[in-house]
Amino acid sequence: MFKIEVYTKINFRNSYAEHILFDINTTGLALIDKLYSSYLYAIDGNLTIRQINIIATELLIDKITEGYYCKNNNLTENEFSFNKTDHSIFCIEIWYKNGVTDTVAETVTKAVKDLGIMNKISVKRGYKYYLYSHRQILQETVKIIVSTCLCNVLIQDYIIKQHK
Amino acid sequence: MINTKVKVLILRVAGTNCEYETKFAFELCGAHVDCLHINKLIVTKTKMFEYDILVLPGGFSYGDDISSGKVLANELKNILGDQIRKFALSGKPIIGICNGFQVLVKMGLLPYSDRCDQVSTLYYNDSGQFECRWIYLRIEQESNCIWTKNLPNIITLPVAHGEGKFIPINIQLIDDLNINHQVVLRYSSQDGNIPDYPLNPNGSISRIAGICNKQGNVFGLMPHPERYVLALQHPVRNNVKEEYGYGKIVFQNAVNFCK
Amino acid sequence: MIKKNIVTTIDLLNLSNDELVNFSQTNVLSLSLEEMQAIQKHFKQLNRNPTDIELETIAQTWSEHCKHKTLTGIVEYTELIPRNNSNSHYHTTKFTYNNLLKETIFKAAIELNKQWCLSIFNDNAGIIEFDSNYGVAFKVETHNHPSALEPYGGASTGIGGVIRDILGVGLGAKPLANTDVLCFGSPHAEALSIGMHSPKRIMKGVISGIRDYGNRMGIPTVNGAVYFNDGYIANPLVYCGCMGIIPKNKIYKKVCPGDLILLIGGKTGRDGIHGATFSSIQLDQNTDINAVQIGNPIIEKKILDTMLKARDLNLYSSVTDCGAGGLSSAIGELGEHIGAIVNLDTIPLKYSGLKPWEIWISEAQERMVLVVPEKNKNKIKKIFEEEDVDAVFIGMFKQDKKLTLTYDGEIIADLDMMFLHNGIPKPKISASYQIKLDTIQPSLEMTNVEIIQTVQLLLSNINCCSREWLVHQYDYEVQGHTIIKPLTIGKNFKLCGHSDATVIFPYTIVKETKKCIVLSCGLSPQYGYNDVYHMAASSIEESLRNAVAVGGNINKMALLDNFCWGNPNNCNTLGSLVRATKACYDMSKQFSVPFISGKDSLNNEYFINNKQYSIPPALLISAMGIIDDVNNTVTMSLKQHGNKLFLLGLTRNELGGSMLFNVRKLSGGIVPRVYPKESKIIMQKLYEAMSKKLIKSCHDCAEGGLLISLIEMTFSSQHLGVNVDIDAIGTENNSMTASEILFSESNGRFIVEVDYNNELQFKNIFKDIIHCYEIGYINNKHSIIIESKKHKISINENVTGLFKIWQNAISW
Repeated sequence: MFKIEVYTKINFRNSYAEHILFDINTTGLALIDKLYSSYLYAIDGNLTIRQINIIATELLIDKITEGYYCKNNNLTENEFSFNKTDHSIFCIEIWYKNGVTDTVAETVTKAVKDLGIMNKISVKRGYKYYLYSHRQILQETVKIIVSTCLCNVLIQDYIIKQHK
Repeated sequence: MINTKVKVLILRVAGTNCEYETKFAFELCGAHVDCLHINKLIVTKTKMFEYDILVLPGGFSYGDDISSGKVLANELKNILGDQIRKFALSGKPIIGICNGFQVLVKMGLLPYSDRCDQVSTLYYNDSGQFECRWIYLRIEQESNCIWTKNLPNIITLPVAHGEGKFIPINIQLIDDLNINHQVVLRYSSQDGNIPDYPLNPNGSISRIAGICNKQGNVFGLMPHPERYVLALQHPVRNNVKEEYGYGKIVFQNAVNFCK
Repeated sequence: MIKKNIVTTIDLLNLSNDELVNFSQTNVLSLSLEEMQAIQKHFKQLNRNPTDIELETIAQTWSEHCKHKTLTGIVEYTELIPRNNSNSHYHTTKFTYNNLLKETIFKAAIELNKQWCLSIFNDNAGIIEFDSNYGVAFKVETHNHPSALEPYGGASTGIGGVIRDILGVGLGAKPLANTDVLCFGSPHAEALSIGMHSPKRIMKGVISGIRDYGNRMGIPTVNGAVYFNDGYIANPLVYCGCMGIIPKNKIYKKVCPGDLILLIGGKTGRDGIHGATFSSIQLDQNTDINAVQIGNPIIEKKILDTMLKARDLNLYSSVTDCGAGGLSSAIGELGEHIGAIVNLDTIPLKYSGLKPWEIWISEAQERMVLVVPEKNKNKIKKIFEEEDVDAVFIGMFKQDKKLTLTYDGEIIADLDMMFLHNGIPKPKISASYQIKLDTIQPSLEMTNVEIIQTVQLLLSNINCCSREWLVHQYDYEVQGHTIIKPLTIGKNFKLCGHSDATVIFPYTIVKETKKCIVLSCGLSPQYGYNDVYHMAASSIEESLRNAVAVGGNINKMALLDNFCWGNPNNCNTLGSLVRATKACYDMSKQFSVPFISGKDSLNNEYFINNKQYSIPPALLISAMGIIDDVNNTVTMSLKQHGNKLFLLGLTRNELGGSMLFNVRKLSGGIVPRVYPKESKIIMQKLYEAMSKKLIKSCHDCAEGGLLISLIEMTFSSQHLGVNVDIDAIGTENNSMTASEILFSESNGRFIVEVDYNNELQFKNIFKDIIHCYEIGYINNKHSIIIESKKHKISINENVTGLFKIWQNAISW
């Protein structure tokens, strides 16, 4: 399985992440200074690295504003900047549970065929968030943030990783 | 009887949803219009050339999943790319409205129809939200776009999109577009000045709302001219005396061009 | 005879009463003991036990959601009416309804007998005549519990479901507009308990869900309301409506033995298993994941594109949507009078591992069932295949009056249609309602400054402030038909006010027409605390008034009712429902406006710490009307400096439940009443005046009262304002204070702008109307100027500041 993470390049505005940041900070649970968000695609099938790169560059990213990371079956984080003033850094992945309708994943399956890649594949979609704060934030607090702002546990699973 | 009407092809795919009002707009201008599903064009690849004008209408092609217009842009590029490029280079009018504009930009038919390479994009609105509202547009009168002749300097149209922020690959592109007079429409304030949000509904670079190729036959825009062909459709109806809206002029220009 | 691993035979015949109840509960069948006993008795007669799929089919068909047992059941109603002006003395009246709906709301429609009503209460939606060739259909549904659990998915499948109702009315109507009316807890409140979402999160999710589904379908979301009250904190109300247009010759359905059953659209998964029965259960924290549904609007859009093509080629003879109860309800209904056989192996699945009963009752979204005469088999399949829509023949209709299901070559269900549809016992339920008197509040005086402060409080109140942030997210312009838009904007495209109603002009469908359709709504839970009768009556009058304000013709208007109530097994809850239906009957008759369709959502209750809470009862009334000439429609923005302002209707001392009392934390007061005789003639005259183009702008007086309505008119008018003389306003008696006059929420009132050139003609039309008062004129200062010599009031306030307060109160 390949996991592709699509992120907005640093010099472009990610207004979606801005909204989420605003939502979290208005809950009063914690003060987050920075939030990055990216889309995740887990693609399973008998694909080569070259095919995966075609899928990522030709389909999943916007060439002008977005970039991607790709790891083979790797659930760990990718490079992101550490700032000396950041006290807490969390990385959260959210995936739909099995059986939950995921329209984007269905579209990706169709669109991969349009690229001429006819292998049978299965696709899952997820979200990834990086939270930065210069205050000390407990993992327990992040759990509450995730379940009240980022994830509906009825239909999605989440994984939290603390980096600092 | 020989049908002498200008023939318009409106391309339909899963998620197209502005075809009825676009069809009406062209018919109002005296054209004959067919709304054809993409599968029909894929089966008969020469079908497209039976028409004088090609329209990529508004909507949410394939749900705008992944990013808006992307899946259709790839499908067109990979399966009908040669035909569409040929159509464009032959000088026949092509218009992409809203989702159609996103498709044209992402398949690279705009701004350079000969290269077919993506050099700009339409990205998430700065507001982070879908924006359905009426806006003012300044028409760049020096542009050689065949679709925007005979329009006054300032017009009004509605927009409705979540991803309409025009972003070039680099700043050089904006200069080139300006030099070539390829910028056709810019968001404007009521009196023609630089607008703030919400009159610039998405934060477009250089306030760009619509561009054309160098020849002026391929035109893409975020606003919806097909939603303002009747004067009644305008939200401020004080002293409406005219019968038609500005949108009608856009479609009439293309139909007249083909006559 | 039956393979044990795929279908289970339930040993029902030997169960005791307790075991029957227990079985129903553990299997989420939501059947009562009497119902379980009826099933037991039926199978005793057949001398066999039912299979799981048979029992599930019966449970779906008999569910509250599908059968509306309460509204069609036998109700013994007791009403306690106060005597001698005292809340402690009563006299009692009793009445038994054999079918509450048929004897109230439906009865009014039958008695009114409007020839232009083409289909009422018997199809997926009500249909009225548009012109000689077309009808328009309108339906409103609720999706409350799913939206509480997964707001985005719940609301999007709510709107998706009601669109399918319109696709499934007659042989299919083309949707023209969506509506949404939403009730949430205060957006500043927190979630009540773990596992529940905060009202703000519910609200944002619901709005995104409606936005994404409606926008992707290309159906403008044009009319609605948002109401906040902490009574909805854990149980939001999500009303979704859809209006569509249908050729008159496509209204009638026909199903014949031998016709094939064609399933089109989405694949079947475990989505929404027990959705129909689940909707009759109160919410708690242990709710099943399968009840959650998520929609795919693009599949539904493909159905819309292709199905209407097949309709116009006359390739099928009937259609219905797969809604609550899934295929079980859809095919059960279509084959009710003849019988049907379905092969469950043929149904396309999302994934393997589904049991036959799960396939049969799954509420997977975006599916429709068509009835296809054998001869059209190949032609119709081709239409769907050409546009990549899954279409599979899954069975056929028969003459044996039975429902037969097969799986893997075996018969796994063999049910008598007669029993399935009519075997449900009709228990008697009792209901009682105690009417409370309301009394006038002590005289309420305010100084100039206090009035302005109150206005600012009202404008920033969550129930009065701008909904702009929400409306702009909905594509209300798609299809180009939206002639009067949900927001009336000023020339600079920055100012705006909420339009009273929306007008849809279907020029792309009906060529050369001048006719158009007005949509509006009325919802006033705040008036229900003393007597739900007045709440219901106010909602009805409000919906009509809103429609009339933009040019609607009261003589060609129809209504939909949507009740959201608590548990009907509670005698008082059901009593208030009965009381509200009485108001519906009375108002429908007196305004001569029929109800054409409706839906109830009961059991809107939830548990917190084992304590049961019920929502404040909410009756949504949606109105639809036909206007003869689109050119005569009127917006609320002021048009011309110097034009005169008139107030139509009498201002009474009615502040009970008002916005003023809400923000000032006052209680008591008289809740606004409806005076149909007075109101109806004003509405008729107003249509006449609008038809002669004598009215330049018009706005109704609603929440917040006259002053707020005047301010709302200036919001959408660049540079213009109003001068109003309070002493010129007609009041019920001379003792009303200025603030009572300005903030009273009396029904039946309109503010109209009349061109000075047309004044004589206008006055001539209204010469017999007592309650027509010239109250002021339009200034060019963008200011609200209010004067009263009698009350010594003099207010002069610029509108720009007020607009900012109103616009910025909530914005997410």
